[in-house]
Amino acid sequence: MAGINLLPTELLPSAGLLKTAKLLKSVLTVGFGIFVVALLGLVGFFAVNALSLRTSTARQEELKNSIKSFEQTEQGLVLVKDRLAKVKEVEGKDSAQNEIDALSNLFGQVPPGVSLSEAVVSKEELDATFVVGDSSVLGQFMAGIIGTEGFTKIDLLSFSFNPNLGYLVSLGFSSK
Amino acid sequence: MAIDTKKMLPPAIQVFIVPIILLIILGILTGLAIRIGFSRIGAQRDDIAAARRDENTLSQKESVLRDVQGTVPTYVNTVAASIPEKNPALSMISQLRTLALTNGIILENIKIGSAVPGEGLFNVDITFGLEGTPVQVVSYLNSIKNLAPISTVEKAKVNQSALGTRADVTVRVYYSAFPQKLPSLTEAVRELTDEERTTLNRLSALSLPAFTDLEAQPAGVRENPFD
Repeated sequence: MAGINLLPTELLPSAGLLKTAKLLKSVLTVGFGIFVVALLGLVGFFAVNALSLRTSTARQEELKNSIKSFEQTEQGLVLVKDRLAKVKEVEGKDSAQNEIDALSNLFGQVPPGVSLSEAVVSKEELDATFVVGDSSVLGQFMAGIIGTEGFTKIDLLSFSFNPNLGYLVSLGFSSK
Repeated sequence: MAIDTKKMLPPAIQVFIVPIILLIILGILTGLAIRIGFSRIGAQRDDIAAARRDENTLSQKESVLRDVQGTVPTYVNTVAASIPEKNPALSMISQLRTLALTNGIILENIKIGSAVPGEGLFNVDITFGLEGTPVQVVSYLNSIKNLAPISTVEKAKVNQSALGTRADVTVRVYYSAFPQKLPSLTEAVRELTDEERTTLNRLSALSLPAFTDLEAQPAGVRENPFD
C-alpha cells in the first residue's frame, strides 16, 4: 500500500537536500567499507609482525643455546684478546730494547783491534766506550760508526789517549 | 505513549541526522584505529628491529666462535704465559737461568723488586749480574726479548776487564689478573684482526717456561710411625 504523506509540500525537504543526504549516505557506506578493509589490513599486518617477532625470538633462543655450547671457546677468545691488549700496552712502553739491538749491531761491526770497554744501556740512549789499539784502525772504526743506521744522533762524549791501551772513544747513541 | 523526538524535528534536518551520527561514529572509530593501531604497530616494529639486531649479533657471534673454536685453545697457553695472571718473577728467573746455561754464561746476584701496580698491569723488576765473554753477554742481552713472560730491559751496564765482561741488568716483567666474566650474551664478538694474529705468531715463537707437574705421592704404610 502506498504511503500517504499529509504534510504540506512546503514542509518537505527540498530535492537538493535529499540528493545531498543520499550522497552523504553513499560516502558513509564507502567510508565504512574503507575503514573495515583498512582495519582488517592493520590486523593482518599486526599478525604478520607478531609472527615475525616470534620467529626471531625463537631463532635467538636457538642461537643463545648454540653460543652457550661454545662457552669455553668464548672464554679463550676473551682471554686471548685481553692478553693481546696487555701485550700491546707493554710493547708500547719505553724500554732499552732498541738500544740493546743497537749495541748488538754495533758489536758485530767493530773491526779487529777495537774492543768494547764499557756500555751503559738505558731507555733514552746507549753510551759506549771503545778502546782502539792504534790510529790506523781509528779511521776505519769511526767510518763504521758514522755509517751505522738506526740512530738519530751520535755524540762524541770523550776522546782520550792512553799510551798503555790506545785511544779511548766514548760515544752516545740516541735513537729517539 | 512514546514521543518520537525525531519526528518533531524539521524534515530538512531529519534527513541528515542519521548520516551525521554515522559520520561522527566513523570519525571516532578512524581516530581510535589510527591512534591505537599505529602506536601498537610502531612499538611492534621497534621490537622487531631490536630482535633482528640481536639475532644478527648472535648469529655473527656464533659464526665467529664456530670459526675460532679450533685455533683459540692453542693460543691460550701462549698468551697466558706471555702475560701471566700471577707474579712471574720466579718463572722469569728460571727462564733467565735456562738462557744463561744455553749461552754458557754465569748468572748471579739475582734480586726481585716489589710488585708495582699499574692500571690493570702490574710489574716487577728483576736485577741480576752476568759474567762471560763480550759476545756471550751481548748475545744474552739480545735474547731476553725471546723469553716468555714478556719483559722489557730497563737498563744494562756492561764493563770489560781483564777477568772478562760483566753486566748488571734490570729486567721488568709484567702480570695482570685474568678477565673475570664473559661479555653479555648479546654483545658482539669480533674476530682476531690481522695485527692480533701477527702478534700471536710472534708470541708463539717465544720460549715458554717449562713447568713440571708433580704427582701426588700415594700414602704408604710406615713400619715405624716415629721414624
